Amino acid sequence: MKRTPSTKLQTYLALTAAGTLVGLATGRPELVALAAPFAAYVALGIARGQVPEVTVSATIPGERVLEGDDVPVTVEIEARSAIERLDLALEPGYGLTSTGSRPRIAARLEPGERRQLRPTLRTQRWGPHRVGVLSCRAADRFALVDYEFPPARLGAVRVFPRMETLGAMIEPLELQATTGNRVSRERGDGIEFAEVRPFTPGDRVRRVNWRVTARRGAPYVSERHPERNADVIVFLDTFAEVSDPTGSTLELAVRAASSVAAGYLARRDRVGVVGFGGAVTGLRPSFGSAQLYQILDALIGSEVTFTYTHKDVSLVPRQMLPPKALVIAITPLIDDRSIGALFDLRARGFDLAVIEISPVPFTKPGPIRADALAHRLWQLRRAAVRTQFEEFGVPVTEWHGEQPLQVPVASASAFRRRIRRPVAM
Amino acid sequence: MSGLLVTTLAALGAVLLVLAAVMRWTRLVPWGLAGLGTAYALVLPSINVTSAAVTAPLVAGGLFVAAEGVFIAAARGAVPKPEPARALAWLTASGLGAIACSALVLVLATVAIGRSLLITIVGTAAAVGVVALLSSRSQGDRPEG
Repeated sequence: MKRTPSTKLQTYLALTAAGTLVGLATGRPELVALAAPFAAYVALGIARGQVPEVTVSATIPGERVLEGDDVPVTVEIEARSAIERLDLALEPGYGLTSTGSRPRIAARLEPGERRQLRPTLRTQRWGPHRVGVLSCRAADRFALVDYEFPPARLGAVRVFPRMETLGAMIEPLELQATTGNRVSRERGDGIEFAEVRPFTPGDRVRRVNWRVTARRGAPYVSERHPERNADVIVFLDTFAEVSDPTGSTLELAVRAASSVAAGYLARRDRVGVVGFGGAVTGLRPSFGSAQLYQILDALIGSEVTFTYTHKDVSLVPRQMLPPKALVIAITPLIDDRSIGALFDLRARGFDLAVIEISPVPFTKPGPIRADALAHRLWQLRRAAVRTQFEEFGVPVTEWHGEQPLQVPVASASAFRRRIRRPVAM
Repeated sequence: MSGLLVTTLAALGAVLLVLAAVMRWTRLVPWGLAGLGTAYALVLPSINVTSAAVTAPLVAGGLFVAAEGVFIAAARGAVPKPEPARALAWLTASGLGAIACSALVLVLATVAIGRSLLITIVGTAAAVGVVALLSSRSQGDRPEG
């Protein structure tokens, strides 16, 4: 506990000293008498003042919240001595903000009194965040000394990105062998009717279509489309980001990645994540809500790690990029290494779609004409990269975060329908 | 000239105290009180001893009440707000206490105690006692909060 003399103590001591000295120097006891009440108050305060004894603890209800949600903090105060004034200041941690206009709380407490306060903080950005720091100052009843208690660090919360519900997803070109919700183009056991064909030895009797058999006088069997699932890899580019005070491309990218992952998991597809940047991270494809939480936990740890090292997709473990997987790349298309890696993935035969988190809204051309020209050239170069992807049958759709994510997803699906099948490289 | 100086100092002191109370700038309180006290000190030689003995406790009480009043006013923006009745009672009691304390000092100052080694020793012991008390209080138990 740190003690600091209050302004009151400093004032009264200064007046006492000045009155006494001037009174002694001039031989006028009246001046000493002027200072006497201030000296008496200080003496009384030092003799009778009690060190404030208080226990302050703060708790938060859970450790998982969504972006934009409120985090109610419960502050428990227990006074063991009389406290004239207790000041609590809750300083929100990074990514959180105070909901009220007054983050400070003050209270007067009697000995043995317990009080509970419930300030609320609001999450602003996804990520693992410390909730904040609770600092506590107290004054005794004479208000001569300020007592500052060591600040208490509140726990941490994992703020998940706010996800959008996507109605239609980018349909994968290839499906896996395991059962799912998607109707495969192949023939096999399933619910969806495909066609009838003549009976061949080895066909099971339960597949015989008796109506067609009776009409044509020869045995026919029904063919059906089996239900399969797909492997989807969300490829998050973390080589570089562009930001301004309102946000960053990485913030949008993580929101998009979590929405896309949740959308495919809801359709019983296997979803994995690859974070490709200064550090290559990943999560093997899997099903279910447990996988969704694992993906969200992995995504909120995403950060841009600056590196000069050349990296390509050979660094990504093979289990994280299974064959026939649909790779949805979420990238600002800034770093040549990530662009090269995406071309490499396409060349290796992966079904690829790119959601471009456009850095253009976060940039402004400089004040001179050459800056404006450079900005335009940069945008033209970006357009050329997009065109290059599209020439290889890879849809590139732009997302600024303002319109729903469904718009670029639908746009990518439309592109894929238009070209029917991606062009082989 | 002296009258103008006294008036100016007193007015300046009063203005500073009002400003401190209104704007909650408690750092101005010592300067305001110093202005008023200096004005009184300048007036003091021109009044007789009996008047001084009567006025000094009243001025001391007034200054103390003004200081306490400003500190209470400066805390009015805080939560919880100072209760008016409680503040008024405290100001009245502290004003009366200040007058009594100041009068006691004046009475003690007029008592003829003579000059002797014993008085010097008692005075020195009292000063040492005050310093020891202050030191022991400042290094007292420090519970962690």
